[in-house]
Amino acid sequence: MLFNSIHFIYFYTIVLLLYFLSPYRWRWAILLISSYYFYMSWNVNYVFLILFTTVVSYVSAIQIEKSYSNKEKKIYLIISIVASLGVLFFYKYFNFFGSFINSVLDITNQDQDVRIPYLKILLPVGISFYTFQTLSYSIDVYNGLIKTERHFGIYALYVSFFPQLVAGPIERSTRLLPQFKVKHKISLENFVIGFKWVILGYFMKLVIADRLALYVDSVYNNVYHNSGVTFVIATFLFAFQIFGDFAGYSSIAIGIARIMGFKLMTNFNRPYFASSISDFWHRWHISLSTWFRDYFYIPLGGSRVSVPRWYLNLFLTFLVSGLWHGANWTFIIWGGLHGLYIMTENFFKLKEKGKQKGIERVFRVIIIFILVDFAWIFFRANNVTEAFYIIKNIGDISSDIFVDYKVFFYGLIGLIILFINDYFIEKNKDSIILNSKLNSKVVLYFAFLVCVILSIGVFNGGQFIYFQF
Amino acid sequence: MKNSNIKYIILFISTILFVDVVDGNLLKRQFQKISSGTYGKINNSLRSNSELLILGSSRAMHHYNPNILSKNTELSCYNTGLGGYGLFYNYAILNEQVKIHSPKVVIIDLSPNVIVDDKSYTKLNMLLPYYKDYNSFQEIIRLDPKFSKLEVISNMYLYNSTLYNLFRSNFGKKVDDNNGFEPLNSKINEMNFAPFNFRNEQIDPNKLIYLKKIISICNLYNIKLIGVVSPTYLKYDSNNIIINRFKEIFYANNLEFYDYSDFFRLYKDPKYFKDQLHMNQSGAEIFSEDLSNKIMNGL
Repeated sequence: MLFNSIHFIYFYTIVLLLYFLSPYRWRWAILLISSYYFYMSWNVNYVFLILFTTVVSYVSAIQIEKSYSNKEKKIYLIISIVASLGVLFFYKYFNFFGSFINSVLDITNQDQDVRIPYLKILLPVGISFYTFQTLSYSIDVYNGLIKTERHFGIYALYVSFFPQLVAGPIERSTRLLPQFKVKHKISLENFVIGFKWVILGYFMKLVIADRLALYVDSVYNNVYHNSGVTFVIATFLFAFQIFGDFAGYSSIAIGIARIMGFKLMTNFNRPYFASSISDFWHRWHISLSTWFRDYFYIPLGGSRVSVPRWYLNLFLTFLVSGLWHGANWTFIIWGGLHGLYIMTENFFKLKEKGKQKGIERVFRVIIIFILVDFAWIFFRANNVTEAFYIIKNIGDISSDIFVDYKVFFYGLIGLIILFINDYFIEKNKDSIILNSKLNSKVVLYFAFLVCVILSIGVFNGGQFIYFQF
Repeated sequence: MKNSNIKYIILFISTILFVDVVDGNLLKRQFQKISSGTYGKINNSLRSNSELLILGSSRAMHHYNPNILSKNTELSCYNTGLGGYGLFYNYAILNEQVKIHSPKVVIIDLSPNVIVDDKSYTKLNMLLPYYKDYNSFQEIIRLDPKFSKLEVISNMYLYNSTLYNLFRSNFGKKVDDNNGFEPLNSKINEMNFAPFNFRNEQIDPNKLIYLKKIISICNLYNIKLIGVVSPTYLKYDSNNIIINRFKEIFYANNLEFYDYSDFFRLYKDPKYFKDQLHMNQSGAEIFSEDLSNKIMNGL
């Protein structure tokens, strides 16, 4: 069930009514059943995986808290991590690593009978997201940051809460779990804020992402029939397609949760206004970058180590973050590129010092955009060979340009509105656009966005890109 | 709830409703004026008062030259064929046509893909601008499994993504409609195609129903209906069950049916084709000439 489907509108309306009309003590059950129904609408069988991960992390956490010795605590933590990551590895990475090992065996002329079989498995939607959520819970319990949740239903709801189940934001137990125990009343403030996020999210998904996808997909899925300027245009548009797609999903998730009274973390902060790579990662997929910071980079030693080791920590963090996105070398190279960018930035001390203004900031923003957009080539390309073909041919200006005036026409309208919207929020951080205040201008602006969505949104577009991760 | 908040909620809803009504009416008026592109073709097809009407998909659109057919049969002719739109669309056009004017002859281009291809369902939502004004379009749009009545509440949604068509129609180059015929110019350059075999494809029962509905309309209004399989570059399987099914249906209703799929076999020359399924202008002219003579003899 996609957020951009009629099915979801019916589903959410029913959930909302049931949620607010039912007594407080039943609400967790209503949300849990709704979340499992939401998840099962993709594939009924995969509900057992989420249930398995939930049970293992729930029991392990209780055992961690009960244990007196650190050694015992560590054993239960390892059980939880291995179980969660094991499921993730099997479904997401088994074939990838299997084919890699087979290639190595081929090169070294090993016996042909010794090969890892290719398994026909479908990647369960959202597995990377809920796995990371259970991992953070187990680690937080181990570190004593949070008490274990004894109520299994509420814990299961934390793992499967439908607004953020399949594509984040990846919430922390310390933030989300306590919210399930609060009696949320129908509140106009929550409704106004939530509705604003939802409208912005749908605008980004339907007007920007799904429109630009029509051009980007036709170029990136036929790379050998295109070249030069066409690649430049498609790569430029992909930067906004993926932003619209993912930030749009996050906005809708934040909005629908907020209407029910739940506050999810902001996942995007106008990333293309970033003036350095580290600034970009403070603005792009914030819930994932902070997760990697807290549960991977810092345990590796973070920056409190020797300089070479610090660089290695940075690089490894981005490399693994790339792998998190998908079992493909393209994602690993994408992560590696960002690792190299950030190492270079730190080495030459290129991070912004103080607040730049005027032309210097514009120049930095453009350079960062170009670097980020270059890395997107690997992220979007179907495989490494095609990515390098694009890079090799991107400078060929002699070839024909693939033009789709309809996409350019509607895409330009959407991008202009997006730019004005984001520029306004960037300038006024406590912008009225996303808070609970209302005035005539804001109301008319959101009514205008609804009209734009209805008039030029793409309603038969595809899935959200991040569902595949 | 504060009064000011109620005021803003009312402002929000009334603005959308107001824009929806005004914009919807404005778009509707402008939309009917579009004379180029897909919507221009549909508008012209709905307005056509020709005596000879061509129905079909892209193969009809590129294969039947109305000027040649008109010259030889002495009947005014319009080609309503549209790429990607098959029997459902053909039915809607014909059903709306007979409400204002009955053509004397209708030629329907048939090929196995029009009855098995399921893309025609997903394209039905492109016809939403005609939903409220034409019952036949309403009927076929509802065939789309993804269709929901919620979609047609908003006028803006009905005309979704038509702004560009309006813009191009008003400011772009005017396209000569050619009575609906869109000739293709290039030649096929690949030689080794596998033969067509639709034996394993399932016939879509819905499409069969709509073919029969087209036949019923023609019977009701005394319209001479002719079924034609226009030429293809490669031969269909000789035992093609779908073509045989077409023949059965047409012969059972005492209707003429011409299978031209093998028409250019003797030439063994790819110069008449743009691709496997579509003839280019040269092929279309020879075919139209031959077909019009055949029709002339039968009139």
